[in-house]
Amino acid sequence: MPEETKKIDLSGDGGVLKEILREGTGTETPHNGCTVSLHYTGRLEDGTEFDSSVSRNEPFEFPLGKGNVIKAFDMGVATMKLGERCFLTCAPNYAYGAAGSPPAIPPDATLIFELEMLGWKGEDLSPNQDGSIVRTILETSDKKRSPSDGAFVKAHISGAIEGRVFEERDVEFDYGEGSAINVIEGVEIALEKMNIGETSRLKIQAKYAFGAKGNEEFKIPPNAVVEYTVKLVDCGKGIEEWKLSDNERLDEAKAYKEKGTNYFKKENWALAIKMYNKCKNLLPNTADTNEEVKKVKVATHSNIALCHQKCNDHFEAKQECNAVLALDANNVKALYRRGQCNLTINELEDALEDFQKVIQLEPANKAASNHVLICKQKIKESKNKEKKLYANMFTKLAANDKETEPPRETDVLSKCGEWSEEDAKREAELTLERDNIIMI
Amino acid sequence: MEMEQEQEQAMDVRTQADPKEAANLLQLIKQLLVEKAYDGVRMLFNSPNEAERNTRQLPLIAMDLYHEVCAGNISDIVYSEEPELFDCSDELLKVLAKYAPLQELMLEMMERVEESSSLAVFGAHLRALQVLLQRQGRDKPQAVEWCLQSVFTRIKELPLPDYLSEGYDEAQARLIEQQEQVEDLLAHYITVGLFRQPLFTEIMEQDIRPDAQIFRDCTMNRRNIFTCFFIQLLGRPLALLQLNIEKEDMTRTYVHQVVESLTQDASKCLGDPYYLLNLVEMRARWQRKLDATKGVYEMSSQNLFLIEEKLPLHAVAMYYHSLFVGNQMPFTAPRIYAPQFLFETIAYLAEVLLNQQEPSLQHCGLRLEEYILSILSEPVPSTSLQLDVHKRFCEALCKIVGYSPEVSLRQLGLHVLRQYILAFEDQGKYLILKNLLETLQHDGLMGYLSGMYKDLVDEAFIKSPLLPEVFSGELFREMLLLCVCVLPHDVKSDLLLNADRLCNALNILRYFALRDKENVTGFWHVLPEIEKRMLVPLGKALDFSMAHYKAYKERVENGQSASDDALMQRQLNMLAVNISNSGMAGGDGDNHLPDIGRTEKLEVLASSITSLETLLGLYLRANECIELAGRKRRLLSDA
Repeated sequence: MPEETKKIDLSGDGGVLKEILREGTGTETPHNGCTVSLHYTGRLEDGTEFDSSVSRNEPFEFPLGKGNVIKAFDMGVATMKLGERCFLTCAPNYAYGAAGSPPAIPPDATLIFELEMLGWKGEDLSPNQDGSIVRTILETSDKKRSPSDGAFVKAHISGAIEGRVFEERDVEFDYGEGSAINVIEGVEIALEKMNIGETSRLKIQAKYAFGAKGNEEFKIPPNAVVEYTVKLVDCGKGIEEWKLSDNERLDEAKAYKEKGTNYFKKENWALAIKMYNKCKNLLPNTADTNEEVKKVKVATHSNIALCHQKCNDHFEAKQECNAVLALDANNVKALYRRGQCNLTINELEDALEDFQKVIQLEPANKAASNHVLICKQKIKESKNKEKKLYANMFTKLAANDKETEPPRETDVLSKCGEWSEEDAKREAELTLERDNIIMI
Repeated sequence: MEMEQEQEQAMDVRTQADPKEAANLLQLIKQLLVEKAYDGVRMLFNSPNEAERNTRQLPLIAMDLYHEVCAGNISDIVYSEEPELFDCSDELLKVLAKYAPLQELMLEMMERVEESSSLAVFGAHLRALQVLLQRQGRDKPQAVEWCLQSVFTRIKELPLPDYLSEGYDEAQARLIEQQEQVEDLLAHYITVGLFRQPLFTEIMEQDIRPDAQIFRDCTMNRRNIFTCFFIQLLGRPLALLQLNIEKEDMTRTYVHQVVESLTQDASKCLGDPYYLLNLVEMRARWQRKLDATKGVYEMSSQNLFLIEEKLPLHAVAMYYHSLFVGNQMPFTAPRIYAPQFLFETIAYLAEVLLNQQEPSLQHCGLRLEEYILSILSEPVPSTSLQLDVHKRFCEALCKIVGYSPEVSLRQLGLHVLRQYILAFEDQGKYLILKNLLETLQHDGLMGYLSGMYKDLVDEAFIKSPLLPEVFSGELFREMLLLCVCVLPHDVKSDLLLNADRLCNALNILRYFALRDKENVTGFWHVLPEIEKRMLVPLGKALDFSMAHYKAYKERVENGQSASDDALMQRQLNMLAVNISNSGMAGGDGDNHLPDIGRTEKLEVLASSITSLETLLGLYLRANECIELAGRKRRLLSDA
C-alpha cells in the first residue's frame, strides 16, 4: 500500500504511473513542441530490457507532444523537471496495445521505463535553423491542418517585449500577405507550422520581427527580440494548384493579379511583387498558343518591372522587362522601362538602343525622344570623363598617387533623377491613362 | 592559430629534410622507373634501412614526385600497357600523400577523382584521398565534404544502360549484375566501400558527442558529412538497381551487400536510425522560405540534414527502404516510436519515391509503404487525413496503379492502395474512397474503388446489425448518389469509356437491392434519385449507343463509313488505353493511330457491341432485382 501511494497517476485511469526516483531541479517542465533530450531504459514486467539509450551511448532526442513516440512517453516526459529520474509504468493501451511490437515487445505488454531528463529547448522554426524563431506550444491541438500559401488565416496574436504587451489583436489575412496588415514575418513563418486550435509562444529575433529599425508606435528599439503568443483560430485549405485546369489556373492567376494591383495602389511594392509572382507561377504554360495567357503574362511581368523600379531594384526590373520582350519584342512599355533601368544602372548604350526602338515604334513618343537626348548627353559625358581619366592616369602615376582619385563627376543617378522625376511622373500618368490601367 | 601550428609542423618536417638529398631521391626514383626497377622503388620506402631516411625527404619533393611521376603514370594507357609501372606509381602516390602539402594535393585528387576514366584510375586516386582525409581529421569539414562530393560526382556520372531508368522486369532484374556497365558501377561502389571503411572506424572512435553536450549537433561536422554521404550513395544510381529485391530471395547480390553496408554505416553514424524521420515533415511538407536579404539560401541551414543537396530526400527514402524492407534496422534501434508517426512520415517518403520517374524507385516506394502498413496494429484515426500528404500520396499511387507501363507496379500498387485504405478507421476509409472517386479519371480504378465501398458495407453488415455512420443514412446516400452511381454526361456519356465503373455501379445496386431488404443503409430512400439520375438515362444511352454501333457496323460492311472514322479513331485510342504514354487517361483523340482496314474496323465494332451487350445484360438484371426486391418489400410492409 505505501508503495502504491508513491506512484503518480498521470493518465487518470492508472494507465501511466510515474514514480520519482530523484527529484529534479526548479519548477519548470518542458512544454509541448520542445525538443527533449533524455536517457531511458525500457523493460518488460519480467525485467527483460528491450531498449535503452544508455546502451547506445547517446541521449535520445525527440519533439515532445507531437505523437512521435508512444503515448505514455509523451505524457510522462512532459511532467519531468530538469535532472529528474523516474520510473514510468505504461499499460498496453498507452504503449503498443494488444498487438505489441514484435519481436521485442509481446502483445498486451506493460512497459516500465526508467527515465532521466537531461534538458529541453524550444523548437526552432527559423528557415536557417539559427534560433531566430523559437516556438513553445502552450496548448496543443489534435487537429492537423495548417495554413498553406494563399489560405485564409484567422488568428489571435499578442506581442510583448520584456514583459510589456505592445499589441494584441485578432487578425485575418491570406497566408503570405500578413505584412499587409503588419503581421511580422516571424509570426507568419510560425503560423505555417501551427495546427488549428494550437496556441504557441514565439520568441522572435529582430530580423524576423521589427529589424534594425524597430518600431516607434510600439516603442520597440532597434534590433529587439520580441515574444508573441499566437493562437491559430482557423484556416482555409489554400489553393490546390495541382487540381486546377488551365482555365481555372488562368482565373486564379487573374485573382492574384488583382491582389497585386491592390497592393500596388497602396504602394506596398514587396507584396505587389509577391502577388504578381504568384500570378505568374499559376499561369499555364500556354503563352505561345493562348493569346489571353500571353496578355496576362506580359502585363504581369511588366507590372513586376514597375514595382521593382519603384523599389529602386533596377537590375530586377530589367530582368522582368527582358521577360516581357521575350514574349512580345515590340512592347513599347517594356522597352521604355528597360531603357530607364539601363540608364539608371549606367548601361548607356543599351538604354539608347531601347529608347530609339521606342521612337521607331512610336515616333510621337516625346518622353522617349527626351530620353534619347539624355542618353546621348550622358554617353558623351562619360566618354569625356574616360578620356580625362586616361589622360590623367599617367601624369598621376608619375606624381606617385598624390591624388588618389580623379574628382568624381556628379552622380549619374541623382542627376538622372533630378531631370526625369517630373517628366517621368507625367509620363507614367500618361501611360496609365492611355492604357486604361491594364498594366497595373 | 590552427594554421600557424600546421605551418610550424610542416616547417619542422622540412627542416629535417635536406634539399639536396631530396632532389637526389627524386632523380633516383625517376631513374629506377626508367629502368623498370619497380621493386627498387618499393625498397626505397619499405626496407627498414632506407625507409626512414627517404620518407624524411618526401615533404620537399612530394608534389614534384606527384606531377613528374604519378600524374602521368596513373592513366588508362599505362594501366593497360605497363601495369607494373601503374602499380608502382599507385603505391608511390599513397606514400607521398602522407607527406605532401595537404590542401594542394587534396585539390588535385578531387579533380582527378572526378575525372577518373576507369575503375583502376579511380581506385588509385581514392587511396590517396583516403590518406589525405585521415590526415585532415576533424578539421575543416567543408574540405571533407568537397572531397566526398567529388567521389559522388564520379559515381553519379558513370554511364548506365537506359533500361535502368525506363524499367525492367524480374527476369532482367536477376541478371542485372551481369551487365557490363552495372558491374563497373558496383565495382566503383565497392571501391568506395574500401575507401570509407578506415575513415568510418576513425569517426566512430573519435567523433563522439561529449557528455556535457545534451543535444545532437546537426551542423556541418565530419560525422554528419559522412552520414549524408552514406545516405546519398543509397540514392541514385544505386537505387536504380533495386527493382524486385524480394524478401524471400535468398541470393545475396552485390547490390544487397553494398546497400547493407551503407545502411549499417549510416545507422551507426546517426545513432538513432529513426532520427531523420523527425525532419522528414519539415523537409517534405514545408518549403524553406529563402530570402537573400536575411541570409537564407538553399545551403545556409545550420542543420545539415535539412539541405536537399547534401541529403536528397529520395536517398533518405531509400535509406528507410533498406532499413525496413531490407530488414536492416539495427537491434539497438529505439522501440518507442509511435506506429502512427512512422506511418505518417513514411507516407511522405513513399510519396517522394512514387513521384520519381524511374520504375525501380517507384517500386521501392510501394514496398516501403507496404511494409509500414503491415506493422500498423491499430486503425489510423481519420484526423490523420487532414495532413496534405495523404492526398498527394494517393494521387501519386493512383497514377501508378492506373497508368504505369509496368504490370508488376500496377499490381503491387493496387495491393498497396487497398491495404492503405483499409488501414484507416471507418470514417477515414470513407473519406479516402469518396475523395478518390470524386477526383480520379481512371474508369477501371473507379470501378474497383466503388466495389471496395460495397465490400466494406457488406463486412459491416456481418459484424453488427447497426451500421456505422459512414455506411448508412446521409453519408451512404452521398457516396452512392454522387460517387458510385454516376453517369458523367447524362445520356450523352460515352458508355464504353465508363464501362467498368458502370458495371460496378449496376452490380452494387443489385447487391443492395438483394442484401438490404430491411433498408438499414437507407438504400431504398436513395433509389428513386438513382433511378432518375442514372438508371433512366443509362437505359436511353444504352439504346442509343447500341443503335449507333449497329448502324455504323452496317455502314462499314457496306463500305460507306468515311464520316464515322474520326469517332473510330477515338474508340481505338481508348481501347489501346495509351498506357505506354502514361500520364493522363487515353481516349482524348490526340494521338492518331494509323488508318485501319475494314476487317479491323469490324473487329473493333464487334467488341464495342459486345461490351455494350454485357452492360445491357447487367442493366436489365439489376433492374429486375430492384423491381423484385422492391415488390417484396412492399408486400412485407403491407402485411
